[in-house]
Amino acid sequence: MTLSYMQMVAANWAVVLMYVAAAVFAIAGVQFEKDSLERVGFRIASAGLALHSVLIALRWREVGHGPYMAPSEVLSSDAWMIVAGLLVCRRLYPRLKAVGVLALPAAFLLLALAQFYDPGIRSLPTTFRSVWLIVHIALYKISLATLVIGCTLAIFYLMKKRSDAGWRQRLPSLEVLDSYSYRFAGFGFIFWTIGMLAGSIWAYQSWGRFWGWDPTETWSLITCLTIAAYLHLRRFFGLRGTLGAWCFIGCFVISVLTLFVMATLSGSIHAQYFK
Amino acid sequence: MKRLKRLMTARRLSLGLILGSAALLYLSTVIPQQVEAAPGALAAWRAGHRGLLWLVDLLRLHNIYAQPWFAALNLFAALSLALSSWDQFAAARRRLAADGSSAAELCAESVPLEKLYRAARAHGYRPLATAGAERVKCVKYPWGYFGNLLLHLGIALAIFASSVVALTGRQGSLVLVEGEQREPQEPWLASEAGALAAPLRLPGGLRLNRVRVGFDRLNQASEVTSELTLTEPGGRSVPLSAAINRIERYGNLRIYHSAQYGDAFSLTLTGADGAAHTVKIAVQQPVSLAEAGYSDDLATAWSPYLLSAKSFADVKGRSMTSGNPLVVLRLMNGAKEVARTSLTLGATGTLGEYRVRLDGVEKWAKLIVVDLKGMEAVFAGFAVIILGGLIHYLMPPRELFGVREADGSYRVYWRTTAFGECFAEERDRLAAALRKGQR
Repeated sequence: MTLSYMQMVAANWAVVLMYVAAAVFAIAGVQFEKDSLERVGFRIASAGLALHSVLIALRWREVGHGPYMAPSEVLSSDAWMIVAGLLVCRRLYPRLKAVGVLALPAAFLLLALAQFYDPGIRSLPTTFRSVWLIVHIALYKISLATLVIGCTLAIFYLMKKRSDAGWRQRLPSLEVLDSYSYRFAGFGFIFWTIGMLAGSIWAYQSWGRFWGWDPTETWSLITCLTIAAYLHLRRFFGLRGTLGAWCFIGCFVISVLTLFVMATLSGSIHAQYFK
Repeated sequence: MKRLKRLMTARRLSLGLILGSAALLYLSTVIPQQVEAAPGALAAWRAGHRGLLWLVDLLRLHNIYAQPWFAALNLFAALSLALSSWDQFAAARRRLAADGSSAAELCAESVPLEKLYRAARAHGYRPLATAGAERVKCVKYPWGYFGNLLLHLGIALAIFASSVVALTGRQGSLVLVEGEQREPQEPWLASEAGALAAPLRLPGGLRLNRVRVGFDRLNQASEVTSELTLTEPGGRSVPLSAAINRIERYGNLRIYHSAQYGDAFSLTLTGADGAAHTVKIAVQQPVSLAEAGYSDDLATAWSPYLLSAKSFADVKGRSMTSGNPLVVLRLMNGAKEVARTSLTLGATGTLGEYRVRLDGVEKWAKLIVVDLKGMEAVFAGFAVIILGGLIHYLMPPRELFGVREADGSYRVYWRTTAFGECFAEERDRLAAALRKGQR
């Protein structure tokens, strides 16, 4: 099965619209305290994710490489991972169903942004034909999804702390939001770290160096250390509550800068392929 | 000694090392580093920050990662982590055996021991051997006590081994055209050696026999292999084969195939005075039929201009392996083009004041020869980090304590070692199972 360029564009916009609809239902479900609306939202998100998966698979087959060479592919697969992470999170932690209120808009914005980039086929350098590259990229994407969920919980914490009226009453308690935010920071940290190590193994296999102080590598390590500092502060220095939430949001901002800004602006080997 | 150890394992020191390292790395992204700065960037930065130069030069902040103080800081961090891992080992063993019922939440009362064990097993909790039946303890994921220990031990091992690699490692790169041989005494194209390592030398003459490039259905290079011969000092010839993503080994050496390879064009340029000059210009392999590969600018002793080239894989645009590439030559005066001509194999053209002929095309490849000791330990460290991290963050231990009451039944307490509220549902399910059938 192959799709023409126009069919592919139309199908991608259809997925964007499905995620928008899912977000609207998720928000309405929380706003009006209707579980049925929230469930409809997640069914639409699941259907959107299924179509999104098919489109990524077709593109993969067409261009001969995974969704990591062109900005449109990178953003689309990031959106896919956020929605997939959200669905897994909802299944494992039913109390966190409200996370879709912020995570779904993040996903549809990323996917919509992807549609404005040149979808031309990028050649795959021979050094990129390594399973370690796929492991490296997949783990960073999983880490991003967990950090998005954790950051959503931190934002909910701050909003609920400020006022517990209206729809905020239907969010989980402050203790629950605080604990889960910490837990997702831990997930993000470990997946980020393993992704970085996989990249190091790939670099050693391809270029004979496992660490080259490339700007993106350096920023990735800075992010890793920053999240590690947050986790230490939480575990040993009693960092909790409002300050803890702000610290985590700070870590999230640094991780987003590393993934989306440093990897494209700096004179890094990563920038060569993502420009 | 104990005081020193306490200082080395203090939590404030750990946090200071983490934040200090992050700040130092941030500094290395603000101050241009010699290893990766673009040409001119370093001088431009220095011109704009004259007031800071005394400090930058004193600490050699343009080359942070190669400084002895940086290596010392890394080793200090590794030592601190190793000592703290030792403490964590003792703490993990203590926690495994400890009775934490006084700090746990009451989950159920008057539970028979058999029922307690049944409910615990059904929820993934394993009974631990306990002294007597006064107090019992069941744990879900008991290995989780050791996750943090493994994570820190792995980081210490990886830092220590990386420092050894950085201090003793050495490497050199070379470019060879098919049929060309490089002798051990000849200089490398580029080389690096750690502070404790002697410069790397080839163990014999290295000859590039042939470069083979395989393409996939999209005409993208899928496999690039260089067939080599190494002639040892005794005269024995050893066939070697290095490919992208497939490393060739010779003794302690590893030979990597770089992603830089392509066609080398042999040209004869004849000036107005009749003098003929032969040059060989290496052009990067084009990534597709429609796109060109480019050379670096080539300076010559006989022309005031730079010679540059780009090439297409096939003059007819049909096959990446046609053997009939098109090369476009340019004479450059700085950024300004002075003359240009396009040639196919055997053709002659005019390039400014020169008549130029394309005599032949051969493949070229850049190879990287590496001698690193300690990589196994680095990767072992990575494996331990991954194992420890996954255990620590995905499987925090949950504990169930039973304290015998006067009537022989048990009061049951529950607690988690981390992320308290995240396991409230598990606690509630367990409590419901323990209370089932009770009034």
